[in-house]
Amino acid sequence: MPMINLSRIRLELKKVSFEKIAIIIAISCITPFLFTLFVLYTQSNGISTLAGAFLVGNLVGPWSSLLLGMLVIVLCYVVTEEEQRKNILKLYRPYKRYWYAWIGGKALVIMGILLGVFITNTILSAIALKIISTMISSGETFYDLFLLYLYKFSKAYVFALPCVFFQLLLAVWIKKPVLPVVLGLLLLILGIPVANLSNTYFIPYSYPILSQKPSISMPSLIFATLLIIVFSSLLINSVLSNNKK
Amino acid sequence: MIIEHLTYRYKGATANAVNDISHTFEAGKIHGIIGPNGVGKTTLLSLMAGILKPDQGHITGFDELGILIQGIGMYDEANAIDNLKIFCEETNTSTENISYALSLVGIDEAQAQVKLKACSQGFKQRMLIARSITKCKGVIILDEPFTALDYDNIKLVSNGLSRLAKEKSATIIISSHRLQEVEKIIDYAIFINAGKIVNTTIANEEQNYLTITCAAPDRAARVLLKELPSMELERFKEGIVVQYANAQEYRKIVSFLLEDHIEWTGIEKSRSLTYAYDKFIKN
Repeated sequence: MPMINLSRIRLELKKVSFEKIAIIIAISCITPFLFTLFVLYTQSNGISTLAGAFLVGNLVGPWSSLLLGMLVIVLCYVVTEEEQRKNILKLYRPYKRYWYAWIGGKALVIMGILLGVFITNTILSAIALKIISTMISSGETFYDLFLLYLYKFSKAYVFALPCVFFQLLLAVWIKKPVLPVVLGLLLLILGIPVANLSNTYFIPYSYPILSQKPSISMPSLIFATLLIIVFSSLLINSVLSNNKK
Repeated sequence: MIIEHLTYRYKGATANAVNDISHTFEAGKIHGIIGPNGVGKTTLLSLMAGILKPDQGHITGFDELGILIQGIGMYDEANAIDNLKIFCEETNTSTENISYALSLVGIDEAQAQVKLKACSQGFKQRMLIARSITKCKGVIILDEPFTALDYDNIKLVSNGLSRLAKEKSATIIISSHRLQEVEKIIDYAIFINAGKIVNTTIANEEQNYLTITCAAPDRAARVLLKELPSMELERFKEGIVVQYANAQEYRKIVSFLLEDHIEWTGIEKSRSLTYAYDKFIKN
């Protein structure tokens, strides 16, 4: 099985448009941040510790449940769209016995871009927290809050992995590029109430939300994550190796 | 490369797109697969390339495969060099042939640094050919490679492919629906119609044909066979087709017909390929 090395990731990045990626990062980080600032300033009189925490947790960046999933769906679309549209994957079929390096490369690129968003968001969150900490006297220091959200964001980031693999599966399985996006969004929306109501692992899009719940069993979530990654990879390999009529 | 009994039918189709095709492709030669649109050329090449799986038959006798199939593109966001590097990475190919491949299609270093989204269709087509050439030691399958190329670029790429066949002993298989595009470079012509090989002609044989349209084809045939008994001759409803070796033989044929007062309404010279194309494809 071929190794995933740095040159592979570099080449994967060359396949995608930097302008598109930059716009996605900008929209997913700056828009929610500006919205947070707007809410903070317009409601500054009645703001409480709880409201402040809610705003930071849910509106700053894509790390709120809905935005993170949407970002994964959009990124999967961006990194596979051209290869699907131009039938380039068909060209590789005669040469590839296994597609795991290709799958790994795509997942790493998406996680790399998400990491970029994660870092940008952490910085923006720190700014938002600083604003809140000056507006309310919660007793917690800025540094404490910063670490708390850094920890929360990291968990959401790690548990976005099954979303990435499952969405990649949809992106290679369904030939029309828009359909996986629509299907992914439906599953994402469905995943929110499911995750909030119970600790079930059926929908990978709900894992970032599940990871934030104190009642969740971490070993079970990790096991489910690994299971989805392995099965999605096997299915992607099978779909891409199949000489369709 | 040997293909044996290749057969393929698309889902929902009533007839086979490729129907029991067998052929041996000689190494170091350029083979032209010729036929009009929709007769199964791209399907045959897709089967040979491994992009489609045949319903029956198998392919043997090759190690490396370079592919250009219509409808498979490149990455517009990457430049020419990066596109070839991506291909090499994805197909586990050495990058050592990249410069050679680019030189064969006339792309220099400066041009190779430009992103494909800013390039013309002709440049992209040459890049597709270069991509297949990076696998230059085995079999190279080119489906309609001269699409979108102007006259100068067709000449340039043709020379490059001839060089490749000679220098690397590559087996090059080119499909085309226009004989004029490929007749100068191919060694063998394989004519395809309705998913079957209808004729194979040695393209570089300098055989010339004369189509004589006349009211009395039987009489004309008798006269010529009496004077030139070894001549290859074929009768058809409106005339005869004869094969001649050189200008001297051509003059003899004309003078024999004149001496016997055989009146013709048309006399047309054609090379072996054009003759075969007219006979097996056009008619």
